[in-house]
Amino acid sequence: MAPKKKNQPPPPQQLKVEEEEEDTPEMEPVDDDDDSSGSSGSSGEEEDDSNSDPQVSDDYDFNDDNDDDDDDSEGEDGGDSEDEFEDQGSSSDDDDDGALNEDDEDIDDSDDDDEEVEILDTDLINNEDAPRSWPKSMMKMKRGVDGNTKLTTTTTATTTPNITDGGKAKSVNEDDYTNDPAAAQWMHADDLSSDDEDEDGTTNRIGRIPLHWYDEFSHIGYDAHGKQVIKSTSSSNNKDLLDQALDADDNALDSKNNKFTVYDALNAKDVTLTPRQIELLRRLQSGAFAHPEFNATPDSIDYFSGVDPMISGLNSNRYLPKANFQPSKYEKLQVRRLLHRLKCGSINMDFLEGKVRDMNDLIQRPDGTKDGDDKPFALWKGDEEDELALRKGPQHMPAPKVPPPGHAYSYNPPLEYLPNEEELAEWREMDPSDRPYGLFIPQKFDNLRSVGAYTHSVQERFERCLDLYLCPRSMKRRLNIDPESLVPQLPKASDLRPFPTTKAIRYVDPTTAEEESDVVPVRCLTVSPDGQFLVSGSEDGVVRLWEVQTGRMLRKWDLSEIGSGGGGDNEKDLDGDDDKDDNNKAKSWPIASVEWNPNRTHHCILAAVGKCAVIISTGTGGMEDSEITDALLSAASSCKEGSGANIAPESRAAKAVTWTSTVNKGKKSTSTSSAALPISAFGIGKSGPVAVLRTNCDVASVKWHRKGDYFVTVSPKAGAAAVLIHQLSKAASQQPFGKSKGGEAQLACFHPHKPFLFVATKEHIRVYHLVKQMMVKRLLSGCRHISSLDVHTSGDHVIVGSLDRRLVWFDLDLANTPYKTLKYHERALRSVGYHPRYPLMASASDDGSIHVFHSMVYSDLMRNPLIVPVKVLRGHSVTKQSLGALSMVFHPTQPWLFSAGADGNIHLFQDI
Amino acid sequence: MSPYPPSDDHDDDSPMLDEEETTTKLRISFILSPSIRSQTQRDALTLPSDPIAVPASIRKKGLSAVVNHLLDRKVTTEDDDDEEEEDDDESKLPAIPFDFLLNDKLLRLPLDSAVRKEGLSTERAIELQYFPARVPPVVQGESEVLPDWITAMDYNDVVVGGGGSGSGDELQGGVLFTGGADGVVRSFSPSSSSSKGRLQPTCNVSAHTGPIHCLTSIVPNTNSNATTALVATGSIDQTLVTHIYRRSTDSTSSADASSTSLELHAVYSGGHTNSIGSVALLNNTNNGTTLLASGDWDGGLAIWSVPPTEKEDGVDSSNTDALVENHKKKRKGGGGTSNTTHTNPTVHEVKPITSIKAHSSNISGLAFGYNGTTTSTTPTTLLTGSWDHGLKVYDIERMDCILSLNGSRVVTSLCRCPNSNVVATSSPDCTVRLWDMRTNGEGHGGSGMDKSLRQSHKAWVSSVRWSPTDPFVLASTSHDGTLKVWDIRSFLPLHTVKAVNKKGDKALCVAFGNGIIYSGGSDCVVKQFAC
Repeated sequence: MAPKKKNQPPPPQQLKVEEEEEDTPEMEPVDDDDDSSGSSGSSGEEEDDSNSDPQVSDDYDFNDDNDDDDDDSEGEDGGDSEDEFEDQGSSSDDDDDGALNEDDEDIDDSDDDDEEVEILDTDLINNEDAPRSWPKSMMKMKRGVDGNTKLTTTTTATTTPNITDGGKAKSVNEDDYTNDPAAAQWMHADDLSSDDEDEDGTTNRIGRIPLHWYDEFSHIGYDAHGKQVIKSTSSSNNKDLLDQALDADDNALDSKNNKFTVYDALNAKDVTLTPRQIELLRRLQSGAFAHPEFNATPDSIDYFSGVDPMISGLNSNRYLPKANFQPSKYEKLQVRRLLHRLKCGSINMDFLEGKVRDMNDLIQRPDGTKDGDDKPFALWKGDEEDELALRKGPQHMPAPKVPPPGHAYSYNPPLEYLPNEEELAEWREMDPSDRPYGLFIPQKFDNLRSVGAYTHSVQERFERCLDLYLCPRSMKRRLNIDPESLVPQLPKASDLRPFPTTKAIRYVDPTTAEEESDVVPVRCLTVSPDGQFLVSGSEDGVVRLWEVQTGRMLRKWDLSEIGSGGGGDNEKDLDGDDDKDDNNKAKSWPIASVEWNPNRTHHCILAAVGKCAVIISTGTGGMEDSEITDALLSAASSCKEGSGANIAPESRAAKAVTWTSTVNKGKKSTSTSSAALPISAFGIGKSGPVAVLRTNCDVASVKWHRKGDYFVTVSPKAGAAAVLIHQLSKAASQQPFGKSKGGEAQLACFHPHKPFLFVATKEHIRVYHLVKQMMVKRLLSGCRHISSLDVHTSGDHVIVGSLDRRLVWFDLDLANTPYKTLKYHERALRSVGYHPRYPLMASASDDGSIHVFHSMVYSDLMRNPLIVPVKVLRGHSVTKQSLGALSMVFHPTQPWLFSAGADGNIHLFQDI
Repeated sequence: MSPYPPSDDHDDDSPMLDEEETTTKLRISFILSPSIRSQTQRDALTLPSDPIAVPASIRKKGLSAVVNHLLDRKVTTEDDDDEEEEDDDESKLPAIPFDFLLNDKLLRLPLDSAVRKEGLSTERAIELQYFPARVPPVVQGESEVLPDWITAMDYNDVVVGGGGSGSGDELQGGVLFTGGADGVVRSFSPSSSSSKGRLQPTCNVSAHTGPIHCLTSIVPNTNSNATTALVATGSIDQTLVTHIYRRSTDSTSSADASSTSLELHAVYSGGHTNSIGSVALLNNTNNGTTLLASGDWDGGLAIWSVPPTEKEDGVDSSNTDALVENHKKKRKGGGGTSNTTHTNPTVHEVKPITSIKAHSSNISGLAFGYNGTTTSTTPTTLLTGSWDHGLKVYDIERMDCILSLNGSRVVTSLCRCPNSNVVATSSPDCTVRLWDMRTNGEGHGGSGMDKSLRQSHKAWVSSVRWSPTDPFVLASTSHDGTLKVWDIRSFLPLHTVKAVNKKGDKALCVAFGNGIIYSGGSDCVVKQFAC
């Protein structure tokens, strides 16, 4: 509504009337309607402000200055028509002082009031002669004006046709006014209601109450200062008859002089009407139009014939505005705005050219993610074009490139490229393909322009085309892989220190060191849990106890007697062994396996010799420890000769094993040996063999349970009784398996902290749950003959060494198949082992070398163990029987490694 | 290269000129090392400090010749300096080999490269401190082949040693105690010129049933005449005993081995459950008692109060007999102790004052040390070195760990410098390491410096000992059978001598006296070196 209101230019005639107001000061007191005059006055003032410049079309000149200010607020209206733009120009003129919309509202209201004022004025004119007391109908209407403007407007709408003559359109009236300036002047001089307040200040402030309420008083109301307005004595009511008669004479005389006096009851004074007013009153009384200037019967104009558009009222703007012939300021403004926005970057050319519908899309797309979404697709594109695009022909193979021309092809080649006579002659004889430049002969020209056409160009082009056509080409697809990337990323060995690197100590038996003639291979090694002592078992049945620190041999026990004695008891078993025992009976009982009790307080070792497993008290413990060890060994040492100890006689283990105490014999032997040797016996506990477990077949392996009470022996040939579990504190044995399954058991080993037993046959490893008495897992090693086995301290990883040179790592959580199979050694593996503390692993082989691996096992189940070969230790020579390093064992607390070889040496390798 | 082409007219002079031009010279000034204290020696050796020019590539030997020349001594260089041969007359004193200190480091390189390495300016005269070089150890004597390996030894020069075999000698200071792998403690008096280089054990006593791991000795401060000494031994058989060495002063004239005696003094029980790895003795000057510290293979550390060495009447014979009986009973089968118990009936049985677990593995080195903050004369801390690669400092009174240093290698032996808290340790990786054990070192945040000397040994270093007189010198023995003498101002050993007679034998222990070094090993022979 607001713009529509603003559309209408303010009526210019009002301005003119104001100008004329100066000329007719006498009109002021006529306008005695306070309220209407006040409202009209206020509106008139506002109109004055807004339309101080009468030239509407010149508003643009001012607008130019304000363009930039209005850009943002009026951006939305960019697409409006020119008319609206003009309106904006005017409105911006209104808003010169930064007026807000609220001000616009005010202006609108004032516009409304404008119309109202006009109406009221006409009413006033009509009721000019009405008594000062308001008629009731007018009272009602006035209240409506005060209370509600809308109501007023409606009444305006209804009353307007009555007032304006004969339902004529207002615009027509305006046209008339413009056509007849004199009429308009008079009309609006009448219409004018002064907005001046009463200058003298004596004007009655009675308000809109009937005057007869003051009939009984001597005053009529109060003036602005609160003083009573005394009724004029000159008024006719108070005059005596004589005076009235005189006045009547005067009036009569006045009327002759065209003087007509009216008594203003409100202000209690006489008002002399002007001749003009009298004329108006007469016209009203006669029922004519009030204004004498009004032409009630104008000349008829042929509006609707449509013949002459210039005359036709439909085409009111017959004269094209000046703006039509000027460059469009709106366009200029728009261009300026767009330039500004382009500069700012809020739009770009894509947006202007319509490629992008929304600038937001463009802003969101710096990475080109939304590119495909906005791509227009051809709705009516033919299918045949798609097929052409997607046609799968042979892959395009670019032709081999022609080598770029060299210096010789220059028009002015260096001298060395120019052939001399001999060369030319030689070239002519040659086949063109053999010549250095083919058909081309380098020539020197003075300038490029004197170079003629190349004579052989067609021929050469043809030949090249022929070549390209005839020579089959094929794409060579190269495998573009860096061979280095195929090698697994292993950390450097130097970063994985410490690990054993250097030979430090050699353990030499002082009694046998001199006899270099025949060396006795050392078969097995074991270290005490605190790392102080080392025990080795050699081929001749002697178990030696060494001090790690100094390399001193502290003890030695010859078990060959026990081994041979065990062998001699059972005649039938001896048959197989006789062949190899022929040459030397004393050395025919090798120590197959030796194992130190893992419990620190139990100072005893277990050795396998022949058919026997021998429990040896080392005597290295202190007083407390030796008492504990004594208590542990008491049951075993009290066994009677040949009795089954605590084994139930009917159990199947009873047939397989017999416990024999050797304390009596052992004491004798140790005392004699200690007397003979310079090596002094020490320790308070007894040392020497305590008990012998005699089985039916050769014992290959012995292993302790981690608590140091139970141990397992394996005698591979014994069939079902191959694996036997013994309890030392009770001197009892049991045979866990009723029958042998899957071949001969070679090795057995306890899980570090779970009741599991690992039993290795030649090709597989079976994991048994000892409490549930069932097989949990069967590991397929892929080896032919397993020679050694070790379980990681975490219990989840097992390494297996085999005689077919393989080292196999099993991750028990992963699969039954090997996690890794390493084949580093040149000969059979004899021993493998984990370090109990450091992430190390080693394997000893018959090639005399020991390979040390960094083997990190992560507690994180998602990470596979890291196996890095770090060092090859070479310390053992290969004997004639092609035996090398036979055993290795890690030091329990240091990154050191002990190794024993077939050459009889025992070495300590340490990290340097 | 000479800038001038050789000219023909100066036949005899040009070589001289060339030589002078080609060899760059350095100006040096000799300063006698302030470590030489005796005034007579200083007077004899002092040189004017005026700078002299020497060839830049001169080495220690050449400088030594220069100094000898300046001192007007005989110059016995085997170089081709014939003019020096000429003025070789009888009046001159014999030459002294000198050693030179450049910037507190021993000069081992040619002078110019050493100067370059130190970053010194050659504009000014280079100051070289000189002092008579330490002579290489010379074998002075060796013992007969003992029954078993010598695994531990200690030399005590405070004790007035016995006359030994030499009858005419005046009383000679010092006694050497050795512990053998057979558990026998022997005492030796230093060999003299009259003893024909033969070390004779003055007395021996079988103390243990197993090899002795550690041995230390001290003169108890209650003893004023220094004729007795306390010998503590720890063995692999988990026993720890002290013996009293006595030399009867009345029988000095009779050259008798029986004039000295080793008596079992006390048995220390209840503190250890594994082999004893190390012992240390300390005279507590505050209350006149003697402290014994011991460490075992489990990492246990015990402190004992040594009973008084004077014969006391308070110990009645019955009690001691019972003690001896008790002791014998506990050490079942220890037949070797019988003669000891016969001779000395007063055997104390001592319980530990404190016993804690200090390390996770074998405590292989123990020494009493000073606290860094207090400059008291009595050591108040205990330095331990272990097989768990760590070194720790314990306060004796409170028995809490003040400082803990973590190394990377096993410590096989530990010795403290006699006048500072610098500690030398030996390791199996052929290395001797030096540690700064000052506990008040805020500068390096309590982490002691691990400054290792050169890996000069070829095998497991078994033992290391400081010189009691020279705080820069220490000696080490190794399983490769060598004895090395080190100056810590140089990374290279000063001297290397063979400590064993046969190849393949191991040198296991070393003892350092005033000018004497003893070594023993698996060849069962004690060797004495003059140094």
